[in-house]
Amino acid sequence: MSDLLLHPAWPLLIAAVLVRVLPRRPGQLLSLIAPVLALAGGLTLTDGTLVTAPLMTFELELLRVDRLTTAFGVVFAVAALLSVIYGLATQPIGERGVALAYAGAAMGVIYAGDLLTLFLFWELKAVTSSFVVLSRRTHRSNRAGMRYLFFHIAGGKLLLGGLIVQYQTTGSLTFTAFESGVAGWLVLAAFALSAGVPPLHAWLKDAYPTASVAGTVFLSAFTTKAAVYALIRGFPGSQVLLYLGVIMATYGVLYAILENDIRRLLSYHIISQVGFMVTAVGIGTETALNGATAHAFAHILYKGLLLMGMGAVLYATGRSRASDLGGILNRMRSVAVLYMIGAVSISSVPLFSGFVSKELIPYAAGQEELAWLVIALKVVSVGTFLSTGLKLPYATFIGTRGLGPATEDGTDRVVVKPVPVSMYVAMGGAAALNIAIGLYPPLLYDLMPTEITRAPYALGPVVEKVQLLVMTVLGFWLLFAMLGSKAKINLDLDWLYRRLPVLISAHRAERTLARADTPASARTRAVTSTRTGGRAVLARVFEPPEDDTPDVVATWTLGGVLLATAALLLIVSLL
Amino acid sequence: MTRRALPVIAVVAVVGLGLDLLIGYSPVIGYGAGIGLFGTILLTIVAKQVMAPALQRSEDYYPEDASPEVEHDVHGVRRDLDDDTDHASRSGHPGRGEAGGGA
Repeated sequence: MSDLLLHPAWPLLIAAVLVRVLPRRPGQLLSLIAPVLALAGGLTLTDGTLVTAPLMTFELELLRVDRLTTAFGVVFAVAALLSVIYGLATQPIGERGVALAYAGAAMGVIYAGDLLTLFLFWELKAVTSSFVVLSRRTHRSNRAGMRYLFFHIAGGKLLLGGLIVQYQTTGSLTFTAFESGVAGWLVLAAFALSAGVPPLHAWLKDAYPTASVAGTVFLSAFTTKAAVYALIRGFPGSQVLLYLGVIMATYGVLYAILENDIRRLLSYHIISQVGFMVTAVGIGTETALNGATAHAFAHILYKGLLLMGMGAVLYATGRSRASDLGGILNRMRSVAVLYMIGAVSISSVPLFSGFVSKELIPYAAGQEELAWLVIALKVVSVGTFLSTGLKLPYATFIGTRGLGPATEDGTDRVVVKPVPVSMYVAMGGAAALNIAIGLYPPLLYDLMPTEITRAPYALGPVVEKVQLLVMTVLGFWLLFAMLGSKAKINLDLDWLYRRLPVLISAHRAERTLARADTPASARTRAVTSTRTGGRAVLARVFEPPEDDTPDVVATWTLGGVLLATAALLLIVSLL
Repeated sequence: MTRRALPVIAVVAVVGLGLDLLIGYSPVIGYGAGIGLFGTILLTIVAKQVMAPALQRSEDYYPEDASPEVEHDVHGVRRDLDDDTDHASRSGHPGRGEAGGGA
């Protein structure tokens, strides 16, 4: 039972409460110490540790440790530390508190040995992460945060349904690999939603770019990776995941090529890269599961670094659209260099972390003789480099299409504020880890669930990767004009609940009135009047006035969430 | 990207193909190069020629996303970020916060 005191979730959850009551400096210090204690706990707990506790008729496994939990626990603690450092100068106390609680809840998910404990931490993670989005407290983040909350509450209900069915069927709540059946499908849907698997992904690209700069860095680390962990634990070798993963990887990268918002582009890339991990879970071999774990580990570091870099740009310029940026390289050189370390890492450039982690997944596909999968993953990798390594940094830092000339002669239209030192420290830490893992792969491989025997730096894979990257640069040059950022948004499946209801209602009102047997002039007036009235009501639901009551307590939105949640609960109960 | 990069690309491509020939790792010579070039063209065409015309809309399509050109809540005067007291007043007002609080 004493091992329970070393549970890596406790320091983060306790700090989440204490930072709210402590004075500013001690609170900041505590928020830095907590992830370090979590890391120490994660490294101290030994493989095979199991702490159980009775609850009514259940025997809960509050803490279960094996090599898989340690890998995720360690990287979650590192991510929490880097994210806290990144937000030291920008994150309000309240947001830092919920962000630490969110990190603690994600840690609880990783170390949960049974489904009930998993569910409790899963729900805590959903609520706290929603508050991370809501903490920016703008109209946009409030709306996106409520949609995020709805999705994740719905996912929680699916998990609860699966948990209940699993208990009824097997009499056990231990979290192991699921058999196919109702319980398995419900839990798989819950995990897939949290991982951002299309068509359950729209919450991610909707909410992540609306959070604060530090909040987005927190969000990128935990929700989808906790889901990947859960998929590795619960559904290794599930064939459906193999296909969903490829769709996910391709879907995300295609949208990333289109996207103009610098953080939404990276959010689509999260979907794409998590697609690699989901594919690996679907392959299900030891090498593939090591690949999923290694890629999740490294992805937290390089995606965090990319979002930190673009967050720094946003902080310094106040601009989030690539089409509004450009020409700021000479005033943000350090940020650009640090960002590029993340970009080459995620693009699997040799000597950086992605080359020793992500490349395990196509390698595992090759071992299973899935040639089509190897080619698909390599093509998606091309898209990764194209959008995060070439298009985005060019448009943001270099491009002359934006509003910011590269001179300091006073004609600048983009004001570039200094970036806080703490942001540089966090980005430097993440960059150093990406380089260290790339130069010395055992740093990562020794943490993996099973032994990795593949030598990443054989000449063949290096030559092939260099060819691929160089030709991608050539392709970028050839298609340069076509790849420019446009000041547009891209419709995605969130259109179904953000726009479609408005269009349907307006169309119905119009048709009803068109059929009415009224004189033309009166009918025209009635249509106009009803349209105006109907739109006002719908606008109240979907786009309330900016100066209205804060959206978090807005009755329509919250009521909608509660109603939908109640409907889901009813369905789950009937099941 | 300038034309100055082209000779570098050419040299690396030739060396890469030569090494490919020597070590015989790839299923066909220039396998990585082919995927790189044709992957770029394929993804760009699908995204920009097929998806973009169907999916791209003006930036004010969702009124709540049509934020001001400069996001004032992350830009401008630094504030004491560990003081939450001004947050209540910012609720529901896009881009009206003081600064530094996030993106």
